[in-house]
Amino acid sequence: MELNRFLLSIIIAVFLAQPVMAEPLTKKELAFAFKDTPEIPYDAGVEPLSGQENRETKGAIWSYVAAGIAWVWRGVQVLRRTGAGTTARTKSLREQAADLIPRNANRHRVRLRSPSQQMDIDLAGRAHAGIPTPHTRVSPGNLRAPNQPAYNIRKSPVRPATQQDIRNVRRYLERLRR
Amino acid sequence: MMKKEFLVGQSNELVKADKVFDLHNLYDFVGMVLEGGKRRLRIVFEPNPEHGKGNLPVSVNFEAVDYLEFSPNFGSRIVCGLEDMGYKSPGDRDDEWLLDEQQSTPDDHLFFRLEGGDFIRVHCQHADIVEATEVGLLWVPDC
Repeated sequence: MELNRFLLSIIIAVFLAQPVMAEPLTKKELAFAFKDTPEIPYDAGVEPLSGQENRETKGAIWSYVAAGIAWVWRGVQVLRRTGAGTTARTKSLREQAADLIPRNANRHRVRLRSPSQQMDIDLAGRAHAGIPTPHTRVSPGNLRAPNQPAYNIRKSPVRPATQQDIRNVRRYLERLRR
Repeated sequence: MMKKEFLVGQSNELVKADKVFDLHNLYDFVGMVLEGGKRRLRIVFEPNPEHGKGNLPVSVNFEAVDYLEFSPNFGSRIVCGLEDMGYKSPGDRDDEWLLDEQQSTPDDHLFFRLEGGDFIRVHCQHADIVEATEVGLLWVPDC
């Protein structure tokens, strides 16, 4: 797997190096490139390259290739770190919420309570107050009610669930399983 | 004393044996049948076409009703969703909050809060929830 990735990187690097190498050549590079193809005229005024110059030119090309490989490799590393460029995509809140239903014994609502408030998160189901699921209703505690705990739910508005709501539900369900 | 064959789970659902009826999320409120001669009330819910697929219509049946109250102008506007369920003590008119199953007593009224603030408040001798086995069965009074 690693070898395949390495070979693929080399191929991509060579491919990507082409535009770099295709930059306008100097007269010396042009002469070197076409010196063995007499049918293509080249600047006759340029003297043939010496052996030292020939080696330097080849070295320059290979340095381009090496730089290309390094550039591609760095890019691959960045993509792996960020997760971009892969086939996996970030799930929507709706999908994340639906995934939690089996963990909640196939029930669609998760209720989180503290003394001060009650949070009802509907993971899936019909819309309420025009707000599709997942949605959340936070009801404040009613400390004056004779039976405790009590929460004022009638006037509590429904709002779309946030990523944090879903995260809280996931953590809560994970704690329940332990 | 109200004998029930179900429990109010979280305020969105009724639980009978191991079966959970999520009336808030998966069902639409359809209406009710009141058989005055028998003091019998049926509140009918149908599975939501989008979210309740695979479920059967259900009827919450109340036999020997001894208390029944609707919100003012109940039925004068379109209502198709249940907000929540719970209990209220007979003398308590503050429906901002509801009692849950553990807090309730057999004398408390069962409280259905519907969309738009409408409600049904009922007490009876025997309550049950049944699934319809045939389409339309829930709508045919047997008297």
